[in-house]
Amino acid sequence: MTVGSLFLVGALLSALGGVGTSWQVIRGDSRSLRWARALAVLALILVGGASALLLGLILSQRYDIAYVYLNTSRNLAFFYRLSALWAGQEGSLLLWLLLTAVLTVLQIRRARLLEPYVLFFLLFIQAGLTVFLLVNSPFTPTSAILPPGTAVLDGQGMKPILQNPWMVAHPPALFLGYAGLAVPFAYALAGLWRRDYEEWVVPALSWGLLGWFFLGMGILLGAFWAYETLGWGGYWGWDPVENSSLLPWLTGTALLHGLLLQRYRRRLRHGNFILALLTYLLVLLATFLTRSGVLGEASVHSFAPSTLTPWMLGLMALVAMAGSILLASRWGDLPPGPVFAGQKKGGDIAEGETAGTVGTGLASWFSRDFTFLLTLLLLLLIAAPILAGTLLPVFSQWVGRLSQVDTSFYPQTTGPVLAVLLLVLGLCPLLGWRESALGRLALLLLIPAALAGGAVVVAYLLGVGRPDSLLLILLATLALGSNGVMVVRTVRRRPLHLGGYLAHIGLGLAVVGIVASSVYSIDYRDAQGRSSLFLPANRAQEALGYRLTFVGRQESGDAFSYEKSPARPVYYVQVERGSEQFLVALEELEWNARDGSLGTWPYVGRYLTHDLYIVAHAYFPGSGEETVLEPGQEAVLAGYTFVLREVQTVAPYARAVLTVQGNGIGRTITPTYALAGTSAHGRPVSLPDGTVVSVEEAGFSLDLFEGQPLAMGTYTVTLLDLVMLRHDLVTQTVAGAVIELATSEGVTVVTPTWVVGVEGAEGPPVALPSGITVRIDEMDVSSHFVRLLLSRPGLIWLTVQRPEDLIGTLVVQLSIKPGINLLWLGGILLLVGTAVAMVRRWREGAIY
Amino acid sequence: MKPVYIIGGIVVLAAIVLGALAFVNTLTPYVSIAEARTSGRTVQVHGFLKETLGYDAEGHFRFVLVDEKGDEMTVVYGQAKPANFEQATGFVVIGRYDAAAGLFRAEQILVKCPAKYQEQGEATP
Repeated sequence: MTVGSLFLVGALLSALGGVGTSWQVIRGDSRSLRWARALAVLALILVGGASALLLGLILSQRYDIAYVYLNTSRNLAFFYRLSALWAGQEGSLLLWLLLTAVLTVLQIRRARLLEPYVLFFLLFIQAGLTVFLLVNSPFTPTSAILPPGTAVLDGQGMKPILQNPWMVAHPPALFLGYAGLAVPFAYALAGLWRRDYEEWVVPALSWGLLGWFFLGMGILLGAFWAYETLGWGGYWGWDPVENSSLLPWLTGTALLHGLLLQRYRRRLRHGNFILALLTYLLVLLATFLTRSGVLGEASVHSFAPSTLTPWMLGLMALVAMAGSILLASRWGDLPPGPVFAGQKKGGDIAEGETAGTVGTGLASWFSRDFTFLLTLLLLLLIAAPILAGTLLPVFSQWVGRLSQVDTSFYPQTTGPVLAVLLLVLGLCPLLGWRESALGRLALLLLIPAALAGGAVVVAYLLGVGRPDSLLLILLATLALGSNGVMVVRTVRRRPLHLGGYLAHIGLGLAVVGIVASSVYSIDYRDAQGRSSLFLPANRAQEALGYRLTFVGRQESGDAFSYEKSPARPVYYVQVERGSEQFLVALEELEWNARDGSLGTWPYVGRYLTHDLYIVAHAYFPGSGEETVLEPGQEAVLAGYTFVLREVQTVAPYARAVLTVQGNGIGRTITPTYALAGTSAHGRPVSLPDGTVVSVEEAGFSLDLFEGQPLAMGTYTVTLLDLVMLRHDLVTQTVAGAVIELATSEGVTVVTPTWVVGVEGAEGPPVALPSGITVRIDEMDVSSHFVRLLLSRPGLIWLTVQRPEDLIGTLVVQLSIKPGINLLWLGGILLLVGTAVAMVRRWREGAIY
Repeated sequence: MKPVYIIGGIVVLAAIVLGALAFVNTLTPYVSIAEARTSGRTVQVHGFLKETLGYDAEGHFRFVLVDEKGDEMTVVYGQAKPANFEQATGFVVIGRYDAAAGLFRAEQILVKCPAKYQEQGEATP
């Protein structure tokens, strides 16, 4: 057993021991609490040890460890070597476990009476995660995944698209979010167990905010990464992976609002327990969906069926069972909160700035009470179709045929609910907890309504014509405005109360940004509706008001880039608009010479109002001008006059002696070329102005199948037989093709050979009396096929490439994404608001 | 019956109706190539790359898809060739079969990559 596995087994035993000792504490043996705490700390130390060990293995380049082999390589930059710790599946699981362990230890003493219960559940989850890691260990040796005897000198490396700073930060944020959401879950179950239905809310809110903050940050970083690197111009693809991380965020949002409702209004006790349980189940579901392979063909992502599946299902089932059994057994015991009826006097009305008269009997529809409940419902109604759509491929496989919804399903179902949610968001901040006077509300709504109306007019003038877009902009700016009013009213007196308002403003901004950048993205299309813009070298093309010129391709790229390794080719495009002029460097991710398809990092030009998004998707190297020449012949190509004097053959090369005149020069040049059928490379000649002259052997190629004659000029060519002339496994194999060349004057039979050696295959030429040479270019014995090359000595294929031909043609797509900065700004504000709320809640519940 | 339940019920009901309508409109079953040829609707076909045909005269990317049963069809994609196309372990093409042209017009191609990092991957427009 390796040291790494020892750490993990130790961590598992400590966590299980902690679960056991916590159980004893719960049963009344308070002395065991010391042990439970010690075991929680020990589990953290051991998980920390395993993480440190894995990092050490990565940094010391131990490619005999599968995880290191699969995720890093020698040329990987140091920065990305660190991030390799969580770039792979096992590593990210380990990170998740480590963060959960840290948060568990932080509950010691802070959880007070709930401590043994909280430790019980958190250590139980830790044990589950540790089992995942033991099943799918990051310490597996490389020899276990490679054929025996394979030497491992270097790793496979990290995918280039993962070598991006945002991708470095995305997994830690996401997993801190996932780990953080375990805490309110543990407090909820602890509260149920201890029949402590109110106290758990305070720490659950503090820790829930922490988890929610980092989950939101992780989602935002992931979206930003997709936009910056994937090159399709979007940030959200409604892929199951993305959806499954959004789901706990949505129910987590509902939970936070529900907890506030319980704290201030003693409502929704049942609901909050359900939400806490549901949120953590969705966290587990997210990891299950992305790692178990259950989505199979339904996702863009390749999900290898995993050995983890039964373990993950097991943990989910246990968590769901523990939660529902506890909840069911306490359901009747839970004091029912006033759902929407008369109010109990008291309770801390913290934000009663606009509280109207104290409610009697039925509280008003215009109260935070009602709008909070509505918000919860709407959030769940947004989550429900996303969950259904994401799970459809799984369930449809069971009941019949695999089906999936088109991604347009998601905006169609969530859009209208979002609109109602924004309306609520526009009214809610202006309301008191219980009731508001309608006249006062109308007065407060004046400024936001004016703002929203103005925004709609401006949007309409800017070209937004779709009614659904205008409605969303109207409601989002209304929400923005009324929360803005509250910010102004709160900022001086109680700055820590700003959190919610700031977050809501962020949401409003983000919605406007999403509508503008998705529905009103301006994509370049040519007259035929194609999105491809062809950029021949050095010829400026107009698109969307920009002039783009492809000025060159640099083979080595920026060798000193600290971010990306290794250096890759870069395509340079000059972009001009008015007096503005800049050079865009598109770094190659992959290029296929066969069909020219290209992948590059996109270029994102940021402006205040929009982004200019350019990505290349094809590159065709230049062809130049070409002709066939025989000795004594003259040709004019690319402004030069060429005369072929003679061809000197020194196998496997030939040398063309050419005189070249034009553009002020007159000289003799001797480009060389490799004879066809050999694996040698010729050498072209460059002229002073950068024009490149290259020569190839000219000839005809004939594809012959045995017994099927082909006519070529005056000849009829037939492959009679394929014969093995020499067969030597160690050095070379020589096969011959018996070829009949028939003319009206007679029949010639030649047997050119095909020599297969250690370094490749070649067909030496055979000269015929008529001066024609025959050689084999390709042979396939099993299908009785040869490709013959027939040529006359001295006949050459001359190619002349001007510098611009050498550069070639780049095909790009470009689009203008208006308002995308609103989305990022909104996202950041959402996070800032959450951070403010976090500080406030932490200070309130200082002890937690 | 409390009014709040009535309001909540109406909202939920509206959302369900909305969801059901959207569901019917956007549901795309996975079919074989043979079924795609006869079905007039938008479908998803899972298959493997047989041959890349490159960009046609209109600048559309073409390739030959072969499914598990060995059927083949030419797929035309109006956009750039998706990233990691050659390395893909398989494809899901979403679109309609154009019987007149004898082609499958893909609106979306999902490329399944042998990703090492399963958390994130490519999304296509």
